[in-house]
Amino acid sequence: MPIKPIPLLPKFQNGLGSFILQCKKITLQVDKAGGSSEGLRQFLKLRLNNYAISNPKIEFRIVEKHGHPIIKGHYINGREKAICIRNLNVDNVENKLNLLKESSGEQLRKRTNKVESINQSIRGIWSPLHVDPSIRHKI
Amino acid sequence: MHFFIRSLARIQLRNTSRVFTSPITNYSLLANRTFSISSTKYNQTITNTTQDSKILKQLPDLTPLKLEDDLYAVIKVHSNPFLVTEGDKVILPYNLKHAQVGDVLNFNDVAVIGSRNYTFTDDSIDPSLYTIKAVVLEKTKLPMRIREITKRRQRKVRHAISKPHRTILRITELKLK
Repeated sequence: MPIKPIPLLPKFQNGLGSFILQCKKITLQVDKAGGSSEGLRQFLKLRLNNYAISNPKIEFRIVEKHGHPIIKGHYINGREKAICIRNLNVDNVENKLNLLKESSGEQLRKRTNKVESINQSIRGIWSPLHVDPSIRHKI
Repeated sequence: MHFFIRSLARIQLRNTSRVFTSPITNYSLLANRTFSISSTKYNQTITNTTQDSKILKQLPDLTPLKLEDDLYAVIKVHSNPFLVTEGDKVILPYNLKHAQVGDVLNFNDVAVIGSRNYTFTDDSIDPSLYTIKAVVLEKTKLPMRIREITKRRQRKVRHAISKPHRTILRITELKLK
């Protein structure tokens, strides 16, 4: 039986063609009476309506549970990001929500290069044998 | 083949600056010389734009580049150069505060546009020659680093925390007009 080569599948590159927001859902876990949930409770009362309207691509789900408040982002790549927001005020809660919204769900990692590319080099690899012999370096 | 702005300007300069005067031999002529008062005042700078604008209006002919398949460009963001092709991720070492995720950015400070066989270089290429666009993909951070700072003969250890911002763009469009 001949060995079949692995078929070259197109790689999905977000933004090429169309851009898709990677954060699809945010759950807000809140305690009804707890003191550490005070900021989140205020956020739900005052700002969540406008925030949800300005982000129509994201589903917001409120979960009532005893304990410290936690916000969780669910991403298209299947990962989750959870942040404990105990004792944070309204503005800080909003900042943390923005952080979830703006990330792609990828794990934080070191970035060594300025530009990450999967394209082949456009100018090609330099070869000493193709240089004009009159100006070629002679050993 | 194609006329470059810089080389044109250089040729013009060369033509105009080469004015040689013969050394003065007959000093009796000096007495008859008259001097007109300059119209420019002290500390006044005059920009001679008439000649420059004529040169600048002449856009270079980039037909050999247009016939090539793939292009690369060196774009500058706050004078920080990035060599990009279409579909590349650009990692900016800061938080782009005014751009939201999903926004499209237009680049207008480009130093180089080229292909495998040709390159076109300038200080900043006229933006009417190309379109380079990028989408803001995400705003993340690097993983948190904790550096221990110690001093000699002191037991105290200070922990310096750093978690710098990164903004990631994707080049969606790179073409000549």
